[in-house]
Amino acid sequence: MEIKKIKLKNFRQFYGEQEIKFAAKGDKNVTLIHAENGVGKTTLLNSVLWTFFGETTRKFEQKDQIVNFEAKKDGEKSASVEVLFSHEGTDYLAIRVHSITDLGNVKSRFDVMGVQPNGALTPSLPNPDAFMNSVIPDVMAPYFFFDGEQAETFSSEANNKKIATAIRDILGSTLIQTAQADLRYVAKKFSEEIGSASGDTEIRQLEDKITKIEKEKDCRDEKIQGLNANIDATEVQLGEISRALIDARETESYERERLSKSDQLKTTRSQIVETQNEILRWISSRSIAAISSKLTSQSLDFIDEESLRGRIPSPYNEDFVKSLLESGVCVCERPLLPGTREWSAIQGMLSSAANAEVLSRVVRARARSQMLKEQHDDAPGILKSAEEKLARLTQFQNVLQREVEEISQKLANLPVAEIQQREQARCQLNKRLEEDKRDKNYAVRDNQHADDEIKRLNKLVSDLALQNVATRKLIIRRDLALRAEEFLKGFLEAKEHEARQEIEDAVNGVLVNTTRRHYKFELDETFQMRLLFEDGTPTPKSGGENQMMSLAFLAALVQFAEKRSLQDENALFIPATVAPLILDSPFGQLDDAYRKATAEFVPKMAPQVVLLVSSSQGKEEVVNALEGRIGAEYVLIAHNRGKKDGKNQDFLEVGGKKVATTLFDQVRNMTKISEVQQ
Amino acid sequence: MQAQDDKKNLTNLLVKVMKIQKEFAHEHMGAKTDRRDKIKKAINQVASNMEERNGN
Repeated sequence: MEIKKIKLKNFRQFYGEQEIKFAAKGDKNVTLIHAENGVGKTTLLNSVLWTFFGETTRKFEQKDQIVNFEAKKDGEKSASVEVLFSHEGTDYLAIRVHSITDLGNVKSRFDVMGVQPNGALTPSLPNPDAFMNSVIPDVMAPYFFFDGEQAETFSSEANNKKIATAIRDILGSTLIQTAQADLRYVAKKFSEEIGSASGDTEIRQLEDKITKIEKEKDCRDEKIQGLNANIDATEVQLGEISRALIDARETESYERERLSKSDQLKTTRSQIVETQNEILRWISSRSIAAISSKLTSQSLDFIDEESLRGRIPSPYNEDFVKSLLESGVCVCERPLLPGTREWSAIQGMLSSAANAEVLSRVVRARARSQMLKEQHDDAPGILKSAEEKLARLTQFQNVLQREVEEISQKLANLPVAEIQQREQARCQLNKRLEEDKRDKNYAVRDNQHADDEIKRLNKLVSDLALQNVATRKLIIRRDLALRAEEFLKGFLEAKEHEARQEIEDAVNGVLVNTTRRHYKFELDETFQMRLLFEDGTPTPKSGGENQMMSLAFLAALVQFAEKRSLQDENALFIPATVAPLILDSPFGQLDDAYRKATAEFVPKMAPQVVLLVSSSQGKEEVVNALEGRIGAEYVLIAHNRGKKDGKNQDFLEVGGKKVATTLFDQVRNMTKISEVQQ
Repeated sequence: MQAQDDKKNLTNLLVKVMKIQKEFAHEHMGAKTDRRDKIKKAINQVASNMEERNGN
């Protein structure tokens, strides 16, 4: 897919009809769009997403206010966006129109038409949504039309679910996931039928119990989803506050220091948990050795001494005793007749007579005692070192915690009302975040217990139901559904594992070419991503390195989608796509050197790239790094009806010319798209 | 032999299930119930064939 042109009509800030022609694929594949904050970068990104899928990103505020306010004043009641794109050699025009009826109701219409070589349009395609999904699946679209300011959220600790979702989305596993859910649902229905078909009270009672537990579990699942959404939203808000504090001169150094200390605090906390686990492992494996010193040495002495004396194993063999009893004559030549005192005495020897088993037991007991003795010698040392480590880490954690609190205090005491408010909000948000995370952990744990209980009850139901012909048939059907679901689960996990490996390699490839130091990117089994320094220690989460890593991850996803689109993929997956990459503010927290490196690799991320940057992001080094790659360039100019009245006039240096990005005393408030001549 | 039959039945069912998923991929309104009904029928069909072959 290649986007050629986008035409906006009274869409949000864009009054009247305005258009942008995108740079085509090839060497000059970058369309660079400059705009200050609040002028329309996010609107442009969302206009494409909105046209294709009727959806917008989280940053798109007041989602229902689509029609331009100035146009509304002129009596206009509709807004639209047209996207001209080509797909598999044919041009198409996608149009979404948003209109408000006289009664104030909102209507939305979406059409896709083919564009013939003579420019004429074909009739609208019969199922435009399905067609759009075949061009670029809606689940994959957010990774191509991407809000760069959110990039670093990929690396946040709570976001491994987002990483997993991103990989599953690009893998095109939606159909498999829906099939899994359907099979689980149908299996549940068969289970319910077992309860009612059996006529067995016990089965019905068990089924009722299962249904009750499942309902409670569903409620908790909903709660977990809600908490996840809250956690995401709170983290975004915290990120925004942090960015605002970094942007302000008075608070920048404090905030950077706090972020660095908070990172250290997180690392220290996880080291404390690891050390506590070490101690637990010590207790389970070495504590017996530590406390059984006397027992082991006495056991060893006893076994060795008794062996020397020939008492254990007993100095007579089981076979020998048996042969005496069978022959009926003792070694002293006295007769051994059943029932006599002699016979009983010889037979009693059988209970302690040596045989292979007894010998083996003695050997095993000695080996175990020896092992305990050896472990005992180094056990105290290991525990002592772990305890010392724990004490050191706990002390360090306390120091860091105090330092972070002190910084918060300093910020809260700064004589600027706005900063104080931000700090207060941050504290409240942090508290809420902790509470939500705790509630989520409880709910997840309760659900794990519920799963175990359901499994146990299902087993009881199966055992009872197999005794009845009618219910046996239902059991067979339920188990078939569950086996099919289990197969799909395993299949998907294997494919995800492969995808994770490929993406990990691709990210490392991108980082080698873009970063100043040697880093190692890791994406673990739980989809947690980590960027490590050469010595294996993790980089700080707040640093530019992590935003760089998140962008590299996005690049890897796009590469993976492109690769998949070229393969004759497994029929179980949704086909992948190659689409333009539209990046809103991708240079967020990057310092100048990383900005340059990122600007150099962004054009290679996709066949067609659209970059939306503010003046603080689109600095000289970015433009210089993109030199030779820019095929189209635009500036979004803010028109203000109000007078200048001492306000700052913003300018931008584009192509050696000074362009005013804010104009006053204009006819109306709007954003004007202005093309920069190449 | 039994294991082979099991595998064949499972594959047979999975082919049917994924075919149904594709058929309904772009349907939205009310699709879930129809899709699940079809899957249930597919399971019944595969299970009945199994039972017939086993003489149950």
